[in-house]
Amino acid sequence: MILIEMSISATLLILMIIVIRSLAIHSIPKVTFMVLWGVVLFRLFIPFSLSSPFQNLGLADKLNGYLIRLSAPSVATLPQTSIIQLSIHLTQQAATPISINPFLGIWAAGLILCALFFLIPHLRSLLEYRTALPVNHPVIVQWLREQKTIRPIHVRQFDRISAPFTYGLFRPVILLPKGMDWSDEKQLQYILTHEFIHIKRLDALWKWLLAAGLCIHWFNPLVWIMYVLANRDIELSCDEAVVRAFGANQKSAYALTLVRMEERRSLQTLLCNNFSRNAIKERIDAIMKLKNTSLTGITAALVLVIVAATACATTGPIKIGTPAPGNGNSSGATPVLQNSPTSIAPISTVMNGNSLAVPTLGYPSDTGNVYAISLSEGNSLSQPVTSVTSPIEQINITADSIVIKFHQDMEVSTLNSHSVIVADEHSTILTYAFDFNYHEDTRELHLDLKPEMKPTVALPSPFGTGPAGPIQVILTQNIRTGDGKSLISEIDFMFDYQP
Amino acid sequence: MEVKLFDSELRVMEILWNEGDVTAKRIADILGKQVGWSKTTTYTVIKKCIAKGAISRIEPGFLCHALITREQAQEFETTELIKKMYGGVADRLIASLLGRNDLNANEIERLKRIVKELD
Repeated sequence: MILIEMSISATLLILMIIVIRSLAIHSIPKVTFMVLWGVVLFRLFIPFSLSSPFQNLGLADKLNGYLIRLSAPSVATLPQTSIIQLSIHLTQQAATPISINPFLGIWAAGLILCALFFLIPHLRSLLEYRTALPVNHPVIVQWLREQKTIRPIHVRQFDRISAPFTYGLFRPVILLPKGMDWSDEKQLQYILTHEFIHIKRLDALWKWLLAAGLCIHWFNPLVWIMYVLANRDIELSCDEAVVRAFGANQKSAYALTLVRMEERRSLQTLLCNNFSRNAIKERIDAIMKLKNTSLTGITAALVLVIVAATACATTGPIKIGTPAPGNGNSSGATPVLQNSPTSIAPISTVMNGNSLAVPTLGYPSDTGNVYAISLSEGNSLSQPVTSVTSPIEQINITADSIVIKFHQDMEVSTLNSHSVIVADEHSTILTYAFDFNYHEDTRELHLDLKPEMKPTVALPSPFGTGPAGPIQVILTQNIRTGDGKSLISEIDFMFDYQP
Repeated sequence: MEVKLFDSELRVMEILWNEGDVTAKRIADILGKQVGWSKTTTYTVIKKCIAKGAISRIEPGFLCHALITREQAQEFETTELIKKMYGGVADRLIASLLGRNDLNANEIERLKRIVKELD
């Protein structure tokens, strides 16, 4: 699911770049597009946004976790009624995530196919390229001597290619077609410089990353478009650098070299002829229209990059499907627990991922340690958890019960195992272990550990003899107050349970 | 023998033509020095030659024996050249050779004599 969200937010960026590219390709430095594609790649690979990595971890995600746990074989030991109860509960809470799995299989199959589609021909040709022969042409020997690089560059000739190219990330090899015109020194210089810029800029790595992005997001047609355009932009950006290195007066000579190489190529690969002809036309166009970079161009490019980067960093993956409970609430702190000295210590928590166990604060009491966190969206975790709107007045935890005292009268029928989830640290729902009793007179919900669940052996197991580790309690939005209102957002707290 | 040999394969054949039957290990040593191939690369090329029927492998010691001669390979390449570049007509190739300005008078004289002999 998160993948589709990533894909969709990347799609918006790609569309934006395509528009910019078609409008401004000749007026801003080509390297801008490389940076913009880099932002898209970041979006395609990294599942969360920079500024608020946790904002999207709603209840739906947690329940996904529960579903997986529940399908574990250990569930078989649960009493029959509990299973039914749990499944009802789950269908209500998270009806959609259950349908993910077949898609996951299709996606994985597509990923593998795509990866093979790239890797097999690539590895096969690498084996062939190894058999290329060295070149002892004086111009090339001289040129190699002049280049200072950390990675040693080799130039070799090969009789089975028609146009020059470079391969290898760590030990780059420039491969020249055997039949090229070795006497045209200027042309050789252009070709070598072009390939050298590819090497210097680690374009091989770029191409790998683009291919990887495509493999992961193979179902997204816009990622395919990005793959094609970004690969072209690698060339355009490289051409730009070559023209810069030789001076604008040589751009037509350089463009002619490209045309000559392309002629040779199209003799061999008829299959992608049409397509590459479009690409070469674009390249020649771009070279001939290269101007000295204007200040406006650079400014525009900078603005674009900043806008794209910010858009990427702040929007985050776009949620689709079931809206996670609590999404509507983004206004400041969510009430979690009352800051009462007799029951719960002040809470300040540092989140680490969406793990349920966040042991940063110990509660010095014989009733156990209390950690309070609300994982729902929009919470500022650094703020104190007290709030006038909190429906909970106090929480008491004793050896065999959890007592939640509410500020106001609650609707009894909503205080049941469907709306109050009790889970252990393995996200196993433990509702079966507790009896739910609401005392209307004291406005207290008692979650009493069932007698048969109380530990009788030294090493209690979470299934046989009641909860062993930290317990998490989630009060969902299904809970209603006496006057029929539901909670603003879900409430969630965690404590160590030591019977 | 109708076998198209690539440059890499010709490098291997060249050694066999010059030195007679040699072991694959020796070929790998020579080519390692000459063209910087790794052992595996050389072995890949040798295997390709075996598959094409240009080399036969004699045990023990992976001794390589050339199944085609230098002349056969030259013959094949020339035929290819005439077919590809001279419309299958050999005299156009001769004309082209005679028209080259990097031939000195002696060489031209020798070519003319060969043509006359064949006449």
